[in-house]
Amino acid sequence: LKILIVDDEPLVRKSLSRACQAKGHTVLLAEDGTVGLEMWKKERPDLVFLDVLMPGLSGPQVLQELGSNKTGKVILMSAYSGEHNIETAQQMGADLFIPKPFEHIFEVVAKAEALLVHA
Amino acid sequence: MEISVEPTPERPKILWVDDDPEALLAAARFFKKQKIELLTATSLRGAKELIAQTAFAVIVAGQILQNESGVELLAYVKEHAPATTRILLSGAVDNAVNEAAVNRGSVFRVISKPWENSELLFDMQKAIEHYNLRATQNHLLRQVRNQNKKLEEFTMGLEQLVSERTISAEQSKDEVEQKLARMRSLIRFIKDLSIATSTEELISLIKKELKPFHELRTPILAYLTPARKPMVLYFQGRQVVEKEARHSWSKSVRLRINEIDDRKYLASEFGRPSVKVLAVPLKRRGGESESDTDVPATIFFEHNLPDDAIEKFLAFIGEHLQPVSIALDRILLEYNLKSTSFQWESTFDGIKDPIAIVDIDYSVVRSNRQFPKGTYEKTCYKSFAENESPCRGCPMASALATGMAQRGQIKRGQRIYDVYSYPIRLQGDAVSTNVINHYVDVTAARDLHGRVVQSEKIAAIGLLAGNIAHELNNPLTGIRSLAQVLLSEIPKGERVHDDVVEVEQAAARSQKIIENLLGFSKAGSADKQVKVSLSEIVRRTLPMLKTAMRDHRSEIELDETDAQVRVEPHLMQQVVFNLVNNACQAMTERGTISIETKQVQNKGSRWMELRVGDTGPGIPTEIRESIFEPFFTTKARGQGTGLGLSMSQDIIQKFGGEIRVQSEPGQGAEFIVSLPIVSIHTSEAS
Repeated sequence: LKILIVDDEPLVRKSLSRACQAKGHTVLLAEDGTVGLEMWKKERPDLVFLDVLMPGLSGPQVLQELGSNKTGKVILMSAYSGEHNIETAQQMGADLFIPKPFEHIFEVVAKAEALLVHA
Repeated sequence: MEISVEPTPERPKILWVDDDPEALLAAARFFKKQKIELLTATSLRGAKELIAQTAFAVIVAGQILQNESGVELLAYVKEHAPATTRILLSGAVDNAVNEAAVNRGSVFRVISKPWENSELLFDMQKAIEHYNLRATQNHLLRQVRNQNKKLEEFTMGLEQLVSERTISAEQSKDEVEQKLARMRSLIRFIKDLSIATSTEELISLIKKELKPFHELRTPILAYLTPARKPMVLYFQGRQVVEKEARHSWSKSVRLRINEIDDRKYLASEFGRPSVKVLAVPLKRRGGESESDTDVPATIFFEHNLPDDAIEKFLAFIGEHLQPVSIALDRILLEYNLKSTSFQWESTFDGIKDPIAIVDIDYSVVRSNRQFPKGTYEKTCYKSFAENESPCRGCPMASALATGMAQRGQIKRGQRIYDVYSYPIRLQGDAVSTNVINHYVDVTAARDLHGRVVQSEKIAAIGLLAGNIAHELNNPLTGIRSLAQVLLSEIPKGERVHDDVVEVEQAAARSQKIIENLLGFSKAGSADKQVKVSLSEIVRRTLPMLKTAMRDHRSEIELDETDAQVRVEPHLMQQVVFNLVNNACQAMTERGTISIETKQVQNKGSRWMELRVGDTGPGIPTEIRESIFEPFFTTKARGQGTGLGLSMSQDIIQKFGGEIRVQSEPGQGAEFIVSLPIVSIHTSEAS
C-alpha cells in the first residue's frame, strides 16, 4: 500500500512511517498541508494520515482543495479531540477519526489497514 | 442786718414831780429857756397818769410827794418805763433815802435842793443822753428781736419746706424703689424666660409671675406650632397638660376683655362653662403687619377681677407681654430646629453605612447609629477598627490636606470598607479640620470581584494550560509511538528494550497528566453536574499534586465502591487540589498528608466524605471561624489569594455538601468534605 503521512510533528511522521514500513507499506511524508496536497495529487496514495492543525493548509482545508480529486482512504488525526469526532471528520470527506495522543501506534496502523481491507 | 435807729424826739420830754409849787415853777422857767418840754405833776397819782400817756426821757421826782415816797414812784417808773432816766430830787442828804433810790429805783442821779441851774442843765443833758442811749439800745434790741423773730419765722418756714420736701422726696424714693423692684422682677422674669426651653416652662413662668392676681385662674396658652398645628397648653392641678386644639380661637391682634368669642372658645375646648375671659395675643416678633398670621399664640385668663384691678392687670401684662412673645417665638423656633435636626439625625441613622464626623486628631465628633457608640472620647480608628493608630489606607489625611473628597480602603477585622472622606469647610475657615467619613462595607463586593478575577485567572490559566497541553500532546504522541515502534523492533531481553519501555511509560504518564490538566482547565466552561466517583476525581487530581506532596509522606485510602456523587468534575478537582495543596503548605517540616474517601451515614442519608489531613501546627482557635472567609490567608504575601478555602466552600455548598475543619493546635488539621451519595449503581462516567 502507498501511504501518505501529512503531519507537522516530525516524531509523529517518523513513528507512523516506521510502524507502516514495519508492516510492509510504502510511506510518503509531507511536513505541512501545502506539501501534502501536492503529493496527494501527484502520488495518488491508497491511504492518507492527515493532521488537522498544521502550518499552511490545515487538514480540512487540504480536503476542501482536493475536492473530487481525492483518492484513497483518509484518516483525520487531531490533538484537539474536542473540536472533531468521527462524524465531523466524515462530513469533511475523511473515513476515520483518530484522536491524539495514540494509545498504541500499531493499533492505529491496524485500524488503517482494516479500512482498506473492508473497502 | 440793717438796723433803723428811731429818731430822738427834737424836744425830749421831762416829767418833774414835786409837791413844792415854787420848785416846780423855777424848774419850768428854766427848762422853757432850754427848749426842753417839761411836764409836771405834784402827786404820785398824777405822775402815773402822765407816764401812762407819754414817753419821757427823764423823770425827776421829789423825795417826799404829799406824804408819799418819790423812791416809790421811781421804782414804778423802772418797772413801767424802764427807758426813762430816773433822777431823785432831794432836800436833805439822807443816806438811807439815797440808798433806797439807788437800790429800788435805779436812779441815774440825785440832785440836791436847791440846785444850781448850770449843774441841773448838765445833769439833765446827761440824763437825756442816757435816755437816748437807752432808747436807741432798746430800739436796736427791739429791732434785733424783730429780726430774730423774722429769722425764726423764716427758719421755721424753711424747716417746714425742708420737711415737706423731705416727705415728698421720701415718697418719690418709695416710688423709685417700687419701680426698681418692678424692673428687677421684670428682668428676673425675662431671665427666666430666656432659659425656658419649652412651652410648658413658659406657661409655668407666666403662672408664677401672675400669682399676685388672686382673681386670675391659671393661664391657658393656645399656639400654633411652626408646622401650624394648633396646640393648647393648660394646667391640670399643678401639672401642665398639652393637647392638640380641637377648636380654633380668635387670631385677632387685639387684647380682648370679656369677649363672648373667647368665652365660647374655652367652653368648647374644655367642655365646661367659662365666665369672664381675658385674651392676650402674643404677636410675632418683627411682625410688622397687623395681620393675623403674626399672632401665633394667645394666652387666655379666666378671671374674676374687679374693673379697677383689670386696669392694673393690663398694665402689668403690658410690661410682660413682649418678653413672653419673644420667648415663645424662640421656643417655637427651637422646636422647629430640633425637629429639623431630628430629621437629619434620623436620616443619618437611617443610612445603613457607618458615618462619622471626625476632626483633625481623628476624634469622633458625631456619628450615626451604625458607627460604634459611646466612644466619643476615642479616636475613629480605635472605635471603628480597634486599631491603635490610623487605619492603613484611610483617606482622611489626604482629604484634609487637599480639601477634596477622597476615597480609600481599610480593613476592619475581616471586613473591608471603602472609606469616603469629605472635608467639611465651614464658612470662613481657611482649611477644613473636620471630615465626614462614610464607610461602605465592600467585603461582599470585593469577594465577588475577587471571584470574578479568580475565575478569569483560572479561565486564562485553563486556556493557557489547554494550549500547552495540546502542544505537548503532539510531540508526546510521537515519542510514545516511536518508543512503541522501537519496542516492536528490539528483541525483548535486550537492555535497550527495557530502556525503551521506560521511555514509553514515561510518555504514557505524561500523557495522563496532560489529560487531567485538560480536564482541570475546563473551568468556566460550565460543565454540567455529573454523577461521578469522588475517589476517581481524587485519583485524577493527585498527579498534579506530586510536586506539592513530594516533601511529605502520604497516606491515601480511597473508597473503591461504585458510590457516586453529583458534581462538576473540574470544580471538584479544584477543591481536592486546594485542600491537598493547603495541607502540604501547612506543614513547614516533613510531615504526613492523609487523603481518604469513605462512606458515612448521617442525618438519615448516605454521604461520601473526603478527609484531607496534615500533621502541621494546626489552626489556632481564634482564626478557625475566619478561614473560610474570602481573602483570609496565613500565607505570606503573594503566596496565596486567601480565596482557596472560600471558593472550595462555595463549590461544595453548590453540590449540596458541606466542608468543615477539625483541628487541635499542634495536632495538625483535617478538612472534611461531605457530599451526598446519589448513586451506588453502575458508573456512568469513567
